[in-house]
Amino acid sequence: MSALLASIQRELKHLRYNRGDLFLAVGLLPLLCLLVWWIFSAGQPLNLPIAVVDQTPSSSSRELTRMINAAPGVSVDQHWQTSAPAIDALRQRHVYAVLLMPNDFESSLLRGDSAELVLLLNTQYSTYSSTIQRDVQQAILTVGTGISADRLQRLGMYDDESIVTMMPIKVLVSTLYNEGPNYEVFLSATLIPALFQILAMVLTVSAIGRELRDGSARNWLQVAKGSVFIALFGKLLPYLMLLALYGAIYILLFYHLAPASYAGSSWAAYFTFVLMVAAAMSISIFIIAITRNFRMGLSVAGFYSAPAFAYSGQAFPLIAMPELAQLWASILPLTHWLKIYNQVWLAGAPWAAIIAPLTILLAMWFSAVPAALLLRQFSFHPASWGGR
Amino acid sequence: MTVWQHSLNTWRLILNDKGAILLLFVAGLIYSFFYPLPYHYEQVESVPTILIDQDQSSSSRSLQRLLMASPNIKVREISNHPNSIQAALWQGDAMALIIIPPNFHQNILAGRTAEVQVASHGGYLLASSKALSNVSQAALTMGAAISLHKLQSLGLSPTQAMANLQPIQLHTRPLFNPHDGYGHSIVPAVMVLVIQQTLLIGVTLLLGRQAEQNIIPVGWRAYLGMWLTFSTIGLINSLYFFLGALRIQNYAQAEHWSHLFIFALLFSFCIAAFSMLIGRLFKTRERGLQLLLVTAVPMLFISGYSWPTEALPELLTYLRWLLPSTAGIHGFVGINQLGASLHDIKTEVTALLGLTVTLMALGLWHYRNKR
Repeated sequence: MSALLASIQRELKHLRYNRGDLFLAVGLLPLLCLLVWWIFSAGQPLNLPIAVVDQTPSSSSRELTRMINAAPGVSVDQHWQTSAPAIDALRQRHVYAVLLMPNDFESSLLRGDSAELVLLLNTQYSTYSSTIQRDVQQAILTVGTGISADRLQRLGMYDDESIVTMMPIKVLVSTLYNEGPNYEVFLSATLIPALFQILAMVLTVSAIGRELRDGSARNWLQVAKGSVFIALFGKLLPYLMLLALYGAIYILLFYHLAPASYAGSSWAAYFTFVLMVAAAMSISIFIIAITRNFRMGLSVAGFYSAPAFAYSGQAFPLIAMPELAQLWASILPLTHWLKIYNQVWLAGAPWAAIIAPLTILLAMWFSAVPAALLLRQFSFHPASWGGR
Repeated sequence: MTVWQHSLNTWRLILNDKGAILLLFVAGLIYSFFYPLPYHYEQVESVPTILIDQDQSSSSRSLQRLLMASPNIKVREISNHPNSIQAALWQGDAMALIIIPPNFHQNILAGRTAEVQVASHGGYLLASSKALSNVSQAALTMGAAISLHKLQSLGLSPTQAMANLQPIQLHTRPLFNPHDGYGHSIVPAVMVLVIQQTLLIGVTLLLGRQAEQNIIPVGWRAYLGMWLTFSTIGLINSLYFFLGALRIQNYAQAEHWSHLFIFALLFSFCIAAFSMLIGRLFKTRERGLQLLLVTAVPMLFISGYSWPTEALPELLTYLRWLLPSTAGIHGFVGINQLGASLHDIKTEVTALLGLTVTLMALGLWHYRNKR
């Protein structure tokens, strides 16, 4: 039997008898991915609660309130005549915005003046406030445009002329890729790779760290006929294959959820995804080779990979980060894969456009070679074993 | 042994365990500066935007000047060639694209609606929305100037002209996070999660080793002693984060110190009881680290904070309260950022109290003397 096959079998045998490690490898990731998908499955936020303070209720103010309530993202849940209870509701998070309509709302409109409204937003809850702001602004613009057209026509303008006067320059907005914005695609599709990266690192550090902890590293090397490369490859191949399988399911599933959002090649996305997982595994070999302690290796891998999404530039763009943060982002495989995700999978760019992130991922993957040498140098002596 | 002795023993155990010290104290210290780092500037400025001016007129140049002065975008003009446009977008050099079509100037002069096209990369939502709102603002500013000029030529005063164009004016006032900063919004919530996860994983490290050696202390005194120690550590970390780290980094601050302290105490009681129960699930020292590192991300989004509760599946809106972090995030953010009192966050206080009592009852049963 070849050394490689023996190494693979040795690892599989361990998984067969250790149910905790088996669950870690096979069960945890699908469970968490399903949870993430479930969290975002409802799609865009709808009917976020706001309060309206209408100091002097009138037909105009009621009409405007109706229009705002009809916007998909907001729901006028509270009506007040004074602002104090509305502000309390804002602080208590029963509502996330308060629209103040002044005493003279209707009289200003009747007089032909402009009426001024104030929208108080709880910007601490920023997803709420940005959705509410957009929808309330839109509703008020619609109502305002109607009144404005009326007034201009009274000045003697025709329909067409009044429209041009209201909006001499029109902005035509389109989204290039990922139209929607489809949150399901935007958030879960980019968070799930972050979970893959964390788990790839935990599995790698665990598989190697366990041998050091239990003092079985020499046996592990013997089964691989003394080659650290075969030992590592045989040990890690089952995990890479499993993550590659889960990765295929991830790519297929999201492609079928929103086929219109993905203009590019799913094969390219998949191939580079597996490369990202392999790169994360290579870096993990480094981590365990340097720490030579299972627990410490896990702590370092956690520090490296757990906040990776925040640094990846997906939610908050890289260009807006300080240089030090950009530097840290650049040593995370996830950052580079998400670039490929955006440029290739969403935007349909050719390979030539992603040479840089691809090269970096490949280099990270090949870092397994020096990492293996480092491991061979220091980790197969009893002095490196038993650390907790 | 008394409760105090058990508590002291637990302290001794922790202080003799480098791994536990690292997780329970050092990790929080590092994370409190490491996590906010990417959001240091708070705002998304200079979103790379490319501009294609197909009109090359005095009007198009006026709009260009307004775009160049926009706060959140960095405009670069490129030639009007389909290949160069596509390449710029594919290379990631541009997140948004503005096209001023031919006849822009002609249309304005002729009293027709002139159009500007703007397209953004939907993969980068935050950057795109900044770009879109900046372009709209620039177009609106220029449009208002044109219309005001026109109406004034009809003999209206500037005020009258404005009233005709914008009969309803909306002023938005951001409260609690006055500059609408991204870090301001997300960092305090994540800090709560860091407090919970470092304690949880640190406790699994200690309990896992005790499980290996079959020396888990039993009896209500042992339970309460350990719980006291872990609660104290939770409290130290909570106070460090909300009175220290967040203050140093100028994140909004609590008005109600005593309320913050009481809430921190409740939260610490809860995460200690939570950790002691979860910790019993793991039979080895490293198992908690292995399984729990990856759970922080879903825990954040399930809380209904950065992803609205209204958008969660209904079942999850109930299940999320089983995690202390849910009440913790809303409660700490409420007190520290919104200036809420304990009364204002009574849902969270009730949830924490209920969860703590339940977890402690389960814990006492689990740690009972099995004779």
